[in-house]
Amino acid sequence: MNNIQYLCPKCNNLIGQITINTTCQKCGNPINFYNGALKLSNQTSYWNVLSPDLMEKLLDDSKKHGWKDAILKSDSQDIKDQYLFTDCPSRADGTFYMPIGKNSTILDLGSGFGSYTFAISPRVGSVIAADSNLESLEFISLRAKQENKKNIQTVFIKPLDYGKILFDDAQFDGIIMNGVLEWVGSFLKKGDPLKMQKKCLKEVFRILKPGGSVFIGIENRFGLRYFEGERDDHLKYYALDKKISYTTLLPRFIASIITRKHLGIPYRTYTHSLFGLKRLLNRSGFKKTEFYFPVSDYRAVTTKIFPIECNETKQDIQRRISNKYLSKIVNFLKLEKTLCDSYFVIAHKS
Amino acid sequence: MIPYIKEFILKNWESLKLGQRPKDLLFIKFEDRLIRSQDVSIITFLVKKITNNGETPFLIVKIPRYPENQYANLTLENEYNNLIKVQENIDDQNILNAMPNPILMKKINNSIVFISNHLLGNEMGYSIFSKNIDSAFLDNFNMSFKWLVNFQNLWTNKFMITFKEFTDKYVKAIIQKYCTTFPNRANSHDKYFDAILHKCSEFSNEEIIILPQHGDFHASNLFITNNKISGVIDFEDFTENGIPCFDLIHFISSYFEALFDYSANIGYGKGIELLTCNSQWKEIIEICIKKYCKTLTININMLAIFIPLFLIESICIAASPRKKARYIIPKKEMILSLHPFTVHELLSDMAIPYYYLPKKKA
Repeated sequence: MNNIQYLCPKCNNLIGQITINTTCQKCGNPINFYNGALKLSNQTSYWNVLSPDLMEKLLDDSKKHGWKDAILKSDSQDIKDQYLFTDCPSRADGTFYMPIGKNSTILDLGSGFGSYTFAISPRVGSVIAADSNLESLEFISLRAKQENKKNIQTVFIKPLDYGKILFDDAQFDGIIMNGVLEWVGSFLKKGDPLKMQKKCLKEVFRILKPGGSVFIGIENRFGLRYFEGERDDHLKYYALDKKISYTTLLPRFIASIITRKHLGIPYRTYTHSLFGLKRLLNRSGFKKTEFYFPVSDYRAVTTKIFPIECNETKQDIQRRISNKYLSKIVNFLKLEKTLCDSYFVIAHKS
Repeated sequence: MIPYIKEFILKNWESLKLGQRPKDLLFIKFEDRLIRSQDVSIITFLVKKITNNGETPFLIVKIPRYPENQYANLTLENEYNNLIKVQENIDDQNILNAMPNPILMKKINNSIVFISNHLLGNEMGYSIFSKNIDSAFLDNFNMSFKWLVNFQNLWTNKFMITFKEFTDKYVKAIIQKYCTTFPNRANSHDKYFDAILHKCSEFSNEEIIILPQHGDFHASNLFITNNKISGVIDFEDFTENGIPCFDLIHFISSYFEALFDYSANIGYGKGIELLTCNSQWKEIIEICIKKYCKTLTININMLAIFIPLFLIESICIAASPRKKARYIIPKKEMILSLHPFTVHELLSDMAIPYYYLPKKKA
């Protein structure tokens, strides 16, 4: 399946295609597999909505009873709640806006439980599911085996904060980063997250084929719901019981003061405004971008998807603004598209 | 996929006879209602053209979520073929203007793409929950009834069959289909099936008219403009030789299901009770059914057979490989086990799952 060309995790030399017992010809570094996942990193990190114990239980039960029963019949509600993030192809419907098809090679960067990987695999040639969490990759490998999906390969990578994605240039027709970009910068506790995100996107640009595109699903920093007081989505992972709101709307250094006070950590999960995201992508090499508004949310099980310029976007935002003066100002300044709660973005490499 | 479709449409604009070329096209994806299994689902897009005058809804594009899935492709083929069939059998331009005109059925980038024109109007489903729900029901029923009766009356190939023939070709066949689809459950409805066949014998000397049935005639598939039906969509389940009164029963039952859903979602259990027990509602429904049967010269007493057939056929459709509507089946099975023979029994039985079954989780 795999015609992908990889780089050596030790010396960054081009290794080429990898099979069992491949070693780097330059430095002799052996390339290993672990539970089906190609290991391009020795850096362990655990980012998972399930605790390590629960994840271990899920993997054990998946091996014994099949992955679906392991989730649906689990006595852990936390595990059961993951079903929507594992077996819901409609969540990946935004990828229909990408120029990909039967022969495409796709990278699901930050694949998590494989929601997008499995949703898209029947429509494309092959999918590489890459993540910095070995356990999630093991789950994907297990599921792929149980469902006889031969076009999925899992790859264990370093957290994207490190800025290097170990594939050769121009390998992929499409790259998916759904709910991923905002976490780039949060693993390493120092350094500028914005610079890290830019470096990551530059790498994405590099490994895309000419004509390829990256699909990004991300919250809008200035989404209307944040003005309405909804909690910052990403901070809840640090403290479920603490509702911290308005941080995305504030200058980031002020947001950091707040998070240090309430959570003991600096603010490093950077989301962006519409223009901020355009600028970031532009500076990373993507000159052509398309923005879409997934209603109700980019993580929802099923969404309507509006191009941000269309009347439906305006109507949806206007419907939610109760203050008529504010509504008129937003309408006059044509700000509706800047207030979408989240975006799907397709950025093209010309 | 969308970029390829857009490129194709723009490249073949003149040959598709789409009128004046626009500045650009916008593709808006509809929400998946998650009724059928996602592997056999169809993704629907509204295409808007951008001109100097702004945005105009223009086309509907449907593609299978998984291009290699034969059942999803069959759904699109059915819809396309059914629309062509209807165009060949109905002369009335008013009827045809309210139906999608199939423009293209082609493989683009390995996926079947079905394109039809967009129909104007507001979805009837949104008007169900207006303040005055009973007058909204009457208005909506009258509009739908008018269109449906016209459609069925104008069909060139309608015909009469004897009730004996009907019993063999429809009643026994549908019961057999259920038993084949659900072999483990067939025995639990033996008494019901026997009762249906027994009722057939009451009409053995009569004839019955066989009319085309839309197959999914419900408020969300109907569009209204100026108090008239301006659009009827989703012809994938259309059949020329349908179960009599199938569309009538489907319209009424799905309408009430929407009202039950709404009441349950807002926590108004009393609403469900009111809808099923209130005598005013019973009268309204009786009037509507009588009107339909009288217009199409159908013996209203035969509904005691058509209603069970509708229910059994609906379950079989839900279980078919094209739909795999897993979440609907338990509800319908529960209703089937209550053996309804009249519309009122059907509606009362439909209300029960709202008390006992968990809500559908997507």
